[in-house]
Amino acid sequence: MAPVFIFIEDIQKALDSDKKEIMIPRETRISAAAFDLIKGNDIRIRFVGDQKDDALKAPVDPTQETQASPAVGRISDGELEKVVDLVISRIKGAKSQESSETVKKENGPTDDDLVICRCEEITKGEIKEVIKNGIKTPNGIKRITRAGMGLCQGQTCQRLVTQILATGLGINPTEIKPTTGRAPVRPVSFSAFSTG
Amino acid sequence: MPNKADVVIIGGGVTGNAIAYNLAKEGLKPVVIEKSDIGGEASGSTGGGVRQSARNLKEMPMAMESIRLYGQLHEELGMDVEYVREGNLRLCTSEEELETMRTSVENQKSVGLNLEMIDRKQILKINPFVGEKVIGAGYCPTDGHVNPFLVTYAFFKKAKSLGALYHTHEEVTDIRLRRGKVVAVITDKQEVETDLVVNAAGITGRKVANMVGIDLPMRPVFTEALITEPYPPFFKQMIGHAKGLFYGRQTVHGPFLWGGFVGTETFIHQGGKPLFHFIGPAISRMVIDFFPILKDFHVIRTWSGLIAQMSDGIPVLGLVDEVPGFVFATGFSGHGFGLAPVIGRLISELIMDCEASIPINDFCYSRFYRGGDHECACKGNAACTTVTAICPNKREWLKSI
Ligand SMILES: Cc1cc2nc3c(=O)[nH]c(=O)nc-3n(C[C@H](O)[C@H](O)[C@H](O)COP(=O)(O)OP(=O)(O)OC[C@H]3O[C@@H](n4cnc5c(N)ncnc54)[C@H](O)[C@@H]3O)c2cc1C
Repeated sequence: MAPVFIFIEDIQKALDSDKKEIMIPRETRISAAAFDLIKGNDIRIRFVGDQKDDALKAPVDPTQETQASPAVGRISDGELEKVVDLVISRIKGAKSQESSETVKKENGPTDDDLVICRCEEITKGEIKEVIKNGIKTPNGIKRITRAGMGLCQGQTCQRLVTQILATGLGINPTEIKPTTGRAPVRPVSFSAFSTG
Repeated sequence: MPNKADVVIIGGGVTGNAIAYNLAKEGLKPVVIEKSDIGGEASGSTGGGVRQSARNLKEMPMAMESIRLYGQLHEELGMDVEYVREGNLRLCTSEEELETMRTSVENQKSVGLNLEMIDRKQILKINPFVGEKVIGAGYCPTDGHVNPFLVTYAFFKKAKSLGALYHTHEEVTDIRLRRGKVVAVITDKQEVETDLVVNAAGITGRKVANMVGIDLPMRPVFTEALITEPYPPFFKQMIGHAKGLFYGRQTVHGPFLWGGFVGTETFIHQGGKPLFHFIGPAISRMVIDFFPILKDFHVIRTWSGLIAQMSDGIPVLGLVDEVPGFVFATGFSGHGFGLAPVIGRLISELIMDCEASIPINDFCYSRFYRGGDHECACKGNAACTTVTAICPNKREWLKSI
């Protein structure tokens, strides 16, 4: 199966070896952070195994549930855990490479480094910062940090975000209105969606 | 909690926050009252297109200045707002559309905007992914897009750091007048004494105007948008349609965002939520038609929003003869995001100096009953003679208290 994500580390590797082009298997997702790195360094992405057009035009039958898909919602919990562990360790790796002004802690990772939104790689610290600045709703946090905007639509992080917000505001989590539910429930192709 | 304020801004969308930032920079302590969260309404569901092309010609000077301001926003506000200035393509598929587009391009050129008509071959050089049916486009290279949530948040954060005061989750329920002038704003939690109130309430701007006894020819237009999962970079332009039926872009994080005004829902909805599900599929059909390559890309989220549409399609800005102390900044008719930085500055100038550096006469409230060429209260120093609450020396007065 194709890797689920391309992470910062993969891009960093390519950079270190002076590559200006990266081949990735079709249907691979690129993490937002990795994407920024790609953009910032003018790296070209090529899909392996097919001409660019073919790769992206390849028909996917939306009714075929077994189709290999990058959807986080469709990988098993065990796999998800592994991916999350990877993301956490890789983000920490990437952070320690950043310039010293953004890295405050020498004593290893803190609670704030915990990745809360796995799809978008958003940490607890980033969420707390927004709450500290006066944002008081899960919808607000989602818009600004992107936590919950990824492929799983907050299925994994919504509860954690609510908890962090409740702690930040000093109220009970039950008093917090969850983010607005958005259709579709699971990813659906334009072709399938267009038929209503 | 202060119950006296230099100025109260109703609405914590992008407009209210941009105004608050500019006023705070001038040394005022604006109080912003927002009934939901920062950017909880239109500014929290917007498409993020930042363009000058296809604007009402009256708006062009403001739109062009706003684009300039967007270019320096990152540094000014100290936050990357993901601004991309890579042009706007307004796609045409018929001879009729081309003809209309040509006229509109000429008109816009005549007021100083740099844009051109391009043919299919030229389009393919800029964007190789357009479908067969696209035969030409209006192209404005200085248009672009931005992450709207970060813009709103950046204005908010900066305004706050400069001394603006925020009350979120608090709703303005009334505005108190004495002898016709604004004297206080009443919320569901408190009463704030002030002689200046800015109506930046978006779609609720009409209701807020009603609080001081005036009305606006404004109605809500329902619209929907959708977004895909992230994909590698394809194109950077903002995409538009000759008839304005749909628009979209690829965000810097990879997802494609598309929105539109197709289907009957534009008029039929329930409190801003869809009653039927026609728009999403209709947008999807247009996306497939115009960008066949996206056919199998996955949509992960759809949402809806209301547009504060004025009868003549341009916003209401500035002072009101009838109600001294009441300032309009609403009715953006679906393109308030692109204008926000300049609106913030102009309204602040008006409040501080009784004069806006770009004339806003065409946008004043009295246009609705006085017709075309009239002298309006918002015209430069006229404000100082006709509107006594904002006295010529408001600035001096503020310094003295
Ligand atoms: C789906 C969609 C796509 C769009 N796409 C674009 C685009 O691509 N480009 C573009 O330029 N524009 C676009 N627009 C339009 C743009 O979003 C708006 O013009 C802009 O956000 C208006 O900002 P605002 O601050 O004036 O209004 P809002 O963001 O609506 O803010 C008004 C605020 O006032 C608050 N409020 C109202 N009444 C009260 C009260 N009584 N007490 C306290 N608070 C109150 C509301 O809660 C709200 O937060 C789009 C709009 C929608 C809905």
